[in-house]
Amino acid sequence: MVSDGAKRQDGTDQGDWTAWLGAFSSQADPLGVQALLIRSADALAQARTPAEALRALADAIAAERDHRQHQGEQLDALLEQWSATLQAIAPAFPDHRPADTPSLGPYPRRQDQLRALTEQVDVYQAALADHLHGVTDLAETCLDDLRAELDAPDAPPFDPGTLAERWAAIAEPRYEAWLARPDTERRIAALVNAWSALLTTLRALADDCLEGLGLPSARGMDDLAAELQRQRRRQRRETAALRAEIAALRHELHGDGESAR
Amino acid sequence: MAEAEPITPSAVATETDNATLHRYGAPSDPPLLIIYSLVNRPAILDLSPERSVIARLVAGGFCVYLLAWHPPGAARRYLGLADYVLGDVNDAVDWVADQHALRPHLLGVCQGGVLALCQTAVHPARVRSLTTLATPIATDSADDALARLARGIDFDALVAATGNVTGEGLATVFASLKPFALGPRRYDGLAALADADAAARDAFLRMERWMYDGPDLAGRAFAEFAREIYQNNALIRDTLSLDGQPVRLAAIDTPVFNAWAEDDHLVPPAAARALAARLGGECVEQGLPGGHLGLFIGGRAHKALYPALIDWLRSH
Repeated sequence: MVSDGAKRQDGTDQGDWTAWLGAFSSQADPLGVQALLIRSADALAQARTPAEALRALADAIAAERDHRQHQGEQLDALLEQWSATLQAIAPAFPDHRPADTPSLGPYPRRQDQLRALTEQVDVYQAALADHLHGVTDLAETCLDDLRAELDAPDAPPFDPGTLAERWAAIAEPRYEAWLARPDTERRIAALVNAWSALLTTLRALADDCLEGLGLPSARGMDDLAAELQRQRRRQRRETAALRAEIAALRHELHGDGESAR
Repeated sequence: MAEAEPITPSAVATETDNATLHRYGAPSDPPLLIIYSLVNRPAILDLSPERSVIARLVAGGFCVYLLAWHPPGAARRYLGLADYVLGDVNDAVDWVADQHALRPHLLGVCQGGVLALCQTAVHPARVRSLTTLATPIATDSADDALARLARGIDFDALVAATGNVTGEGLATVFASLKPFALGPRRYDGLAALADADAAARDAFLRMERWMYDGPDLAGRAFAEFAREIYQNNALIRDTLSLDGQPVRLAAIDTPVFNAWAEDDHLVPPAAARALAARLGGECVEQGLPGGHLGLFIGGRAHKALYPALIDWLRSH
């Protein structure tokens, strides 16, 4: 600023603007606006001509930009260190995702199962909560609409039978519209899929326990069922081939009549 | 819960690997083989003397065979669609044809219609005609609630976890589509039923047993059906194959009669109606007012649909 030595109304000299702005200094200056103002005031205080003032101002802005960039680089480095520290201490927290840490030591399959179980329980609970939230919203909407109907000035007195009928009449179309909504379908699918994953892991753990005790397991039954199925299919194919052969022979003997099939 | 006793007299004709073949009517009449769905029991086709599909077909001059599926035990969880179609359905068709020295008419009900279509597509020359009732063919319409619900579900993971799928679980899914109609509205008149005659009470309880006494489904067959028919729309896209044998609707040059219910929330009309355009031969179509079950026990169906079907069958 070009200083003419004039006094301001509040008694401060314009040459003291730097000091005056400094009185407002604070640690909270995330955009660097205040620092830029102080740096600019300081530069302008030294200027004697308008051209000198402009040059000084441009230099002040460039200097503040450089300072900010340097600070930004320092901040990036600090944040990177902080992030690494957080990741290192994350396993100590209860909501840590076990899959973030590799299995170490013996029984890696069991470790994987137990990790999967904790994650799948979380996913299932979240999916269930999500679905129940949707159901609750629907029920509240239906109740609000029923209440509005009951509170209407011209509403007839309701006996229990009529009340039940009105409830069904209000809730049924809203339920069917809700069921047809893509977000409802997505939530139901998420819940079923989460339940399937959880149940598969629970079954595997239960099977491990049973097999450890020398008892039959569902996994063992599945193996038998799969083997039976392979034999059944083989037999069916062989029977079909045999029938085709018989049909061909019949055709040769009788021609293509209805009885020959 | 005891299974509903049949109304129309029958005899066990033979057994296939996974089903019992029941015979109704005179063996001298031309044969008609019914392939029922793997879901629920076929009692709905013979629920009361007045509304029995089987009795009506027998009275129409056919020797009716019903392939009644055995609920799979845990050892049969890996039964797939190929086992049912290329095994049981194929065996039943062959057995009936041998006994009568005539190719049978084939009639598929709901999911059984898909099994019957598969059989006919793979072996078109082995059946005299094909009838499909409330059969899901195209599952990409916006009002197909089952297809929409099935869209994001990993069925292979589901059956890997559950093995077979329980009938109770499926009944719950179906009831959840219409919880008010099947809950408070259905039971609203229960008190009045106490004063009704024995036949009305019996009819109500028979329906009740049928609705909530569905058999378990083989896990693999369930997953294959849900994935191929409901997620992949495989009949329409020509991508279904059984044991490597392609199932192409265009290969069906047998005469076809296709009927559906106009207010069916399980198999919407668009899902059933898509068949005619895909076939290689003649197709007679009939849409009937009413819901899914109305096609089997509804007064209109017994007054209009089945007489028309019997006439059509006689002409082929």
